[in-house]
Amino acid sequence: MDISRKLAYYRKGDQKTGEKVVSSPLAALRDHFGATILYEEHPVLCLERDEAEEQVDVRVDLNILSRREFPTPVNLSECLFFDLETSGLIGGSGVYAFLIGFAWWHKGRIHTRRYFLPDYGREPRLFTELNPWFTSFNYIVSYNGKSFDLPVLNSRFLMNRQNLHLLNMPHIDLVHPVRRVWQNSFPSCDLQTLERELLGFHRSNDIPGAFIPQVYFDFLETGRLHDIVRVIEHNYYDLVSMVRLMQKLHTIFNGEEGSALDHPAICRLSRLLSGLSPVPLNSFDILEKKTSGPLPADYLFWKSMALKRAGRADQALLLWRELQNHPRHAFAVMEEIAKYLEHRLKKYKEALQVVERALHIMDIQREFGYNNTPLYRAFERRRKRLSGKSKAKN
Amino acid sequence: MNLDQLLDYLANDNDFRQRLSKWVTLPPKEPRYAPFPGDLHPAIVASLRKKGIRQLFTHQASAFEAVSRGENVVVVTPTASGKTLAYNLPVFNQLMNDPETRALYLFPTKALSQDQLKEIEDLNGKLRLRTKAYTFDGDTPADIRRTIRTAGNLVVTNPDMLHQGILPHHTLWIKLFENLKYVIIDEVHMYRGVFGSHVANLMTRLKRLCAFYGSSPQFILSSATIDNPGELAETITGEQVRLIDDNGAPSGEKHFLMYNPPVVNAELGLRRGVVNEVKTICRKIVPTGAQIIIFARSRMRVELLVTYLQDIAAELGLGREQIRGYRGGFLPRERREIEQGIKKGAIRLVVSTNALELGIDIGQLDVAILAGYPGSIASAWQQSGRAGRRNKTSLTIMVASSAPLDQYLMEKPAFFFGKNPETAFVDRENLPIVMSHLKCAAFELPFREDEQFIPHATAHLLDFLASERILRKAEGHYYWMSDIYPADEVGLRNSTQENVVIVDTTRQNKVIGEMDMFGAQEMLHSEAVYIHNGLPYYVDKLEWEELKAYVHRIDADHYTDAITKVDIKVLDVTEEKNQGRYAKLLTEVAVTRAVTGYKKIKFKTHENIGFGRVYLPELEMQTTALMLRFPMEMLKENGFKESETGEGLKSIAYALRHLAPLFIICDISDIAIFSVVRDPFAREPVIYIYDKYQGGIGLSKKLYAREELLLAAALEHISSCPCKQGCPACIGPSLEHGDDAKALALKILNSLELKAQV
Repeated sequence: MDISRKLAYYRKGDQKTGEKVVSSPLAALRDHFGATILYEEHPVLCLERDEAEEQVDVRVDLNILSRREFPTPVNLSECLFFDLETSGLIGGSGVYAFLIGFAWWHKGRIHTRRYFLPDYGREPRLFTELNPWFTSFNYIVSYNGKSFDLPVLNSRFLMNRQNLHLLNMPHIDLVHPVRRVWQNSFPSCDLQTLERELLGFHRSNDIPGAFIPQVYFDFLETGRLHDIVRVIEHNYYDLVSMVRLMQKLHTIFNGEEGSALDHPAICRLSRLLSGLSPVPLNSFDILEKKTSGPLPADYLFWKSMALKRAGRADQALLLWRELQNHPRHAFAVMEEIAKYLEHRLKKYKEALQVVERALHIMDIQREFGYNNTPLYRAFERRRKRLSGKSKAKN
Repeated sequence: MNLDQLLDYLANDNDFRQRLSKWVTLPPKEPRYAPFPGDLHPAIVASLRKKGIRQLFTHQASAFEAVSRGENVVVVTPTASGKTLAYNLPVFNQLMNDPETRALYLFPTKALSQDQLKEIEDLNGKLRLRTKAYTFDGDTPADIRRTIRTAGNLVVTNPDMLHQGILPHHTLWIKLFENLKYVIIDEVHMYRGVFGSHVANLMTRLKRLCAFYGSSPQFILSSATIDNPGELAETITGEQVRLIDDNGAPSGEKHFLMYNPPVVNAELGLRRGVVNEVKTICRKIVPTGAQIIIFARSRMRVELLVTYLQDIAAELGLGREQIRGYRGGFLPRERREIEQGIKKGAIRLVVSTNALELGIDIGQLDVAILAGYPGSIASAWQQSGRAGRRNKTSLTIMVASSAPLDQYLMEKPAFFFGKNPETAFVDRENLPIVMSHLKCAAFELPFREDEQFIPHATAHLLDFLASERILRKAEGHYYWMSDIYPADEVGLRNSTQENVVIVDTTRQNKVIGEMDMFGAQEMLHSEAVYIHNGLPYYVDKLEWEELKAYVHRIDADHYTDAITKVDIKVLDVTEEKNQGRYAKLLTEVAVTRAVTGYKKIKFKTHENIGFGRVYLPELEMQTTALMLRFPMEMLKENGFKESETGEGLKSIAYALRHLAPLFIICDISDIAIFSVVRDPFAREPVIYIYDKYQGGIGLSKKLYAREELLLAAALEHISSCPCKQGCPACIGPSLEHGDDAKALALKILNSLELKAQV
């Protein structure tokens, strides 16, 4: 007998002594978390945990922050929050979701249920049972789930020849409204940063996301629990923070005065508001109450554009006059002033003066090598037209 | 003056005629037609009639019929013989019957897929089908990608994109995979060597996913004329493929001229340069008003020729803008503009790399000039096909360089015009390549325990990957267990080996070129004088870890010549045959090469003016080699001293290496050769010819089957070379060997008593 056949025989003998389907690491995890093991043949660990969260607004208004994608308030108890931990961070069909976490709010408590797959090939039964459960919710909520978690989960379902029901539900991906508010406020918009900055919560002993795939592989090979426990905790906090973050977003335009916004945030928000139609002018008042100090120029600029779109150009003009000397917006507002004077007030001479001043400043800038040719040409055309018009009027 | 007048004129030009080693006139070919097949949809027939097509060429009809019977086909046709229609007819016919049909078109280059999309859309518009055809490549914007995935009937892409963008994300392409009826592979002869090996594996991955989604597409392939299109198509697809080579398209009279520039230095065997000769020929032809395409072998040559020709534009009576270059590295818009310019006749003279050899539509030109033999007979005919399509007389002039291959063909034009001897070879089982694709495939879909990816060895390979902890075996499957995206780590166009980039520090660290690792050790080691585009550069440092060589321009009076230590260890002999006077062996070998130092050689006088040492790591490669063993006894009988044997073998080796591409389609740089008098394995004088790729790509295996032809060609070539003591065209530059090397080489070859006739 050659050695490879001997080896095969030797291995067989090993198996006879009984390979338990529920491995000891899995049993240890179950005991550590007080979880349950589902499906004897292909075990999956099911972890449940909940905590009180009474101070919530059940009707969550994301009308403005979702750019009117969700115009009517969303009922919090209809939302299923979800978050995956996976074997790869880039995506593609080889990525395995080994931890599938869900959260929902019910009668004053945040409930979570997480499925930990202790090895490959544990999906089929779980997926069959998840799909009907999904139908008891009307929305799914994720953080960056549109581009990562949902495609990955969908891919897993397809590879098990099942259709993912979640795809049919309206999907609220919180990362987009969050970026619309805080993109310029914090160095990064990941959940951990937001917890720290907005929710006053600091995770201890958290595992950085980039290490998670390797932790899972190590668990598969060695059965060591230490790091995988941290991953399971990590997923729990991601879920709970998502629920709280959604509340935080809701309170921006609906909440008490207390929730302050920094300058970068109100600038981004005023830009967002200025792009909506109809323009929700009263929202600017809310923002101004939530911030302190003199209002930043960016904010005023976008507010002025909102006023203009709302047909309050007279009010916008006041802001434009104010912003004329602000380097970032000078030319844009001069253009606006000139347009307003020319088309609305028909004050060609005054308009011409504004245009000439703009060109004069640009000429000086050009000497220093700052060139904005398209804008310069636009002003030149405007000057030509205006001087024609003002002569004709005279 | 029309083309026929031009031919008369050239025939009477004595200067010109003297340089021709052959003037071949190929008679025109009448078209052969077949009626529209019965099951071709009436709407298609009607729209073809509207286009003025009343019947099909025979090859189009037989392709259609074979596909209808459910067979895979490969259609072999020269340029402009309606092959686009041959592969589009079955697809559109199926679409008429089932609008959910999906087809995947693979073209070897991005430019070609853009061009073909236009043709498809044209047919689409004529048939009033709501077929959605899209190109999917690196330039496709993200929002359009989504549409293509779900709604694209015809997805036009290239193998690289299929490999990196589609297969690893197959769950997003579910509609495509579920409904995939046809896979069209155009220009399949391009998929050979390493690239072919990758594409063959890629097709296995594709079919694996199709099986998962319950589809089993038919393959429709097209190929230029090569020796073994059927075999190649079967290797690439892994399926039985019907060969359709009964080309019914007509062609006009064709004149093919072999032009050999005059000898300028008989001792060194140097002829006048190709670039200058092409210039001279253009002077003769341009005044006739003919539209000319010139094919050059490299991008650099293209630039050089364009510059030279533009300099004499006025003399030629052309505007500078009527002379254009065309090559890779141009922007798509620029390329489109040149293609249009050629088509409309605004551009009178275009100089191109082989980029225009492929089927991009540029209309018909009058004259094709091949500036140097393009490396394969198949290529030469394709390039020649650019001149005068269908019904019209055309002229091709192939201008030979001093390279052995070119000169061999000038001596033996019959070889060129006879049956096409080149075989495109693909080794489906190159281990490093199979491994890469096995990883990609495992990422795409877990492997079942009993699944076959390549015959016999799949389980072993999977177990190996599992032991390397890249896969995990669980529940009877092998699962991907890594957070990397394996397709990103594999490029299809080269083997696993990396390249060294050459950075010119005097020009803002501009990258001026790149070179394979072996070449880099020899030519780019620190302190080397490296000649690039004819200009000397000094290598300041070769950063081996970073794969960068930093160079700066110098004015040097010398160049450097690396001293390389090559060591070949035979690991296994897979086949062996005694050929009477010598033996041939097919072997698995480990090649170690190390550059240990260099000589400084003065220009012109070639004096050795100094030495230097080089410290670089040894490079090891496991590959396959053809070993030719020459019994010492036999050589002694013929009165050879050991040193003479070495000299002779080295010279033969040079000729063999350069002539090998005549028998297998490959580039000279794909193979390497090494001769040794006392080989530690054979204990006798041997010549090794080995594949220069990790794992081997089957080139030496192919050569093993035709080594006698190769030796006979070498004998014939060396003996008929007009030089006295050997030259670059036969046994290598005379300064690199002794005075009697040529005689010794001939003596050894003659003693082999070869029976083969080339």
